[in-house]
Amino acid sequence: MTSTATAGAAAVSAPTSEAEAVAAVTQQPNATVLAGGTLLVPQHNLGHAEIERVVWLGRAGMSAIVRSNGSITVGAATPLAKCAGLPAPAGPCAARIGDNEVNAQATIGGNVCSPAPYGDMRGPLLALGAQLHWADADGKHTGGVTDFVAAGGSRPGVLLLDVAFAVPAAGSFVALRRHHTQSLCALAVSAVRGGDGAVAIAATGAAPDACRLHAAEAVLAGGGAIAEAAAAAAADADPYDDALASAAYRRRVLPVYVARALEQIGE
Amino acid sequence: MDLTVNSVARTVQSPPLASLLTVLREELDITSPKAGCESGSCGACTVLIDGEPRRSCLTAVCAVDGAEVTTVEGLGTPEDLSRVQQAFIHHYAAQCGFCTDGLVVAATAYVSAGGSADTAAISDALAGHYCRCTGYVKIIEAVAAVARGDEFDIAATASSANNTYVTIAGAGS
Amino acid sequence: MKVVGARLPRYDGVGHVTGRTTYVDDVRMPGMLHAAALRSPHHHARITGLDVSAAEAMTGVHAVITHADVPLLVYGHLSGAGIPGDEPLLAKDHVRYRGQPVALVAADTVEAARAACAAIEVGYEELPALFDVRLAFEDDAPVVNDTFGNWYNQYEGNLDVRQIRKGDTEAAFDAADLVVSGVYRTQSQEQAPLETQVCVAVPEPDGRLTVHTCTQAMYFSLGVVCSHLQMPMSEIKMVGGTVGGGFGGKVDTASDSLTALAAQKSGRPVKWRWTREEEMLASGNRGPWHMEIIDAVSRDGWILGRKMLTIHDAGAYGRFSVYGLTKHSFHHTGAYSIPNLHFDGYVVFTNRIPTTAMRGYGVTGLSTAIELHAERVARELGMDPYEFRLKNANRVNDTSPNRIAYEDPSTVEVLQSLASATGAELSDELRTMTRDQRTGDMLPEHLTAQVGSGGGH
Repeated sequence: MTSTATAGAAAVSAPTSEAEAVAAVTQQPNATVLAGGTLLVPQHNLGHAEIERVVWLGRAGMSAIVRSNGSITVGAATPLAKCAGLPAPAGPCAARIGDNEVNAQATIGGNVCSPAPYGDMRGPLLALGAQLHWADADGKHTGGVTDFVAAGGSRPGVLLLDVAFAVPAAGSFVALRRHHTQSLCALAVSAVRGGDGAVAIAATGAAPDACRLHAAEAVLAGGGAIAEAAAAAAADADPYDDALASAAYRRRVLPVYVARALEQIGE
Repeated sequence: MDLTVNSVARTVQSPPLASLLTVLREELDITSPKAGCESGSCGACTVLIDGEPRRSCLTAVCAVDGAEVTTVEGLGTPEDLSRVQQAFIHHYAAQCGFCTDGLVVAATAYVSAGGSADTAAISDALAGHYCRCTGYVKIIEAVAAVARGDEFDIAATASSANNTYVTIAGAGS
Repeated sequence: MKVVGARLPRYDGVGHVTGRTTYVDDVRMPGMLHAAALRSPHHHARITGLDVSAAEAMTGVHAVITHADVPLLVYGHLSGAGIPGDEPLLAKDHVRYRGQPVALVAADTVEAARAACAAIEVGYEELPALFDVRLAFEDDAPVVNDTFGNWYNQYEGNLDVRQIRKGDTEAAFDAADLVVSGVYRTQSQEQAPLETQVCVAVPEPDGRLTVHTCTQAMYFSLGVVCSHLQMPMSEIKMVGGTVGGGFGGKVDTASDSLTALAAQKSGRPVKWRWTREEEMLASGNRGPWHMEIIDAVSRDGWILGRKMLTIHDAGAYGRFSVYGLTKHSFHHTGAYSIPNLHFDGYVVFTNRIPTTAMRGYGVTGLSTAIELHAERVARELGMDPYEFRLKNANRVNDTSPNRIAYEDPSTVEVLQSLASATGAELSDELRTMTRDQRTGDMLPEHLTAQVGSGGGH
């Protein structure tokens, strides 16, 4: 490690490799990960976060996008702006998070670690069947978005390393938001047709956390039309009220967006 | 930690997790970046970090150790205004002025990167900046004018640095 | 004409674009302290205890201000107009809204001030809160306001209600072909200036105070600070005029008196800048309005009379609400001329943030209601909304609800411009209509009595 500084209660370390970062996060108690800082620093500014120990990833690498043999691996500290060129639905989703300044600073890992109304990338990554790699005190783990969330991925002591997925045959992303920091995404639908022709659909904002829309997928697998699949989307949804949209609005818009997403991948 | 701020080398003592905004304002007394929200939402604290527009309130100072930081003070002076600054005066794009520092910085980055005079592209580039006074029209006009290469006649406005108040006899009675 | 139509520079333009303009938060003073407020976490509660001793003992803390430190605790924004004060500068026996300030700490750093706030012990006994103005009149409604109860009750000395009576409303309703009613409610709105509430107060060696203020209303705020501190105006110098946006939200003088008290008590310059969160949760906003309109209408499209009931949600304290409602009552016919009026309006208190001015105080929500209602009436009549509006549009010498003759009404031109901009087709008669005083077909029997004689009351 190149530097360790202590001030007030928070000590900041700046590991210079992924291995050092894993050690810093998993071997120190209560280590909070600082990547782009767009969510953590405001909490600190306003005195809301009791931060004991910070591991800053800015010198650790972990920000490469590697393509090989039809699959793509994205380092967790990759800025969202750099993810904009990823295939749909991941790229279009990444491009639309925050305004330009925030988009250039926030990272894909930080986004995946954040629950609604953030966590926009969970939807596309679910639809892509992405595999996440993370480390904690017990070692390294691999699993889907749901596994990562269930394992408490955003808690101190856990470091997300990268996300990997196969390049899809087709993908689409349809979202309810405008281009502004304040305009958090109320509802988004991601659709992916894999190399085997199977279609996967996922949504953010349709339920308290990102979810796959299995019933809609099953309709398509059984040869059903887009309209039938869209109508079936509600089965996996759990619409809720928040400051961005009402449950009724989410319920009404979901099938429309599912239909649009499926039309865009040529179903 | 060492920073270059408006071409001057500075060493800072603030805690590593302090925001760059706090360091600029409270430690270095550079007050143009404004603490409008301290949560990345308003744009008033925007500065250039190695030439790229960033929210200083979202940036932990440890993350910019060794970087070059430019605030609006570093873009031009009353005696030597940049083209974006001239355009903001000419087009009346600053009203209360509180968002102006961040907007001039972001607009400078936009035109430096070859941004066009297309209003949709400009409003997209400035989407993270709130202005509560102008309704944005004059701001977008100003940035488009710079992108078009317009000339600005600010001979009259330059003398206004002396705070020449304009009074209208009988107005407001 | 040297000025009208000329292209003049803004005197502050160069400062604004070069980062040289000095806003209140940019003021730096040697030895300056930073303040933070302890605010009520409850919408409504009785204060059972307040102990600041632990906070006062903390390192870096130089002054803790509570209600006991305020020379004139209860003061009203309209005291000068004879309306009693109702709002304590710091909560004493009760908190009436979430975010109400209970104490202010001045310390070496903001962090130290916040930590000291957390060390202040306040005992609260929560009380039922009132949020719905329609429930304020129930017998078992929680009582919100110490001075007035649940609604302001001193119009014209002792009336509960702001009334307007004009013409013969009952006769108008008897003569109506159609009666159209509607209920309209608007929500509260934060002014959201980019500069949050902020003040720097400096104690001078001769005992005077210098107050750098973000107020929109310098001399009003000077009076507020002098009243709270019980100091003569000659002892307090207010410095301001450079405001990072206000839009009505900087009239309340939200931070000046407390910062001045902290400077006085600590003997040091003090800065108090609210966070955005405080600005959103605790600064005065545009209040909600509940408006019920019933119009008596003739088959040929004239509004013969209007009955209106307005309930204004003032939040927990009065501030300017009585003024806002009065202005509302004067405008309750909006851009249209209605000769027979029966208006009742109430200022009701709830356990919300006290409300205040915002761009068209008392009138903006009203305009929403009036225009929606005009659309509804036109629809029920089966009449083109432009024709309906232009027919009833204010004309020169028509009189307002408070009997002022309009000298320069713009309704006709605005509607014609709107039609032209949106491509709506107007008949020749409507397209060439002017604002001039009513004559002929545009002066039906029911309007003859209400046309004024020019400029008078």
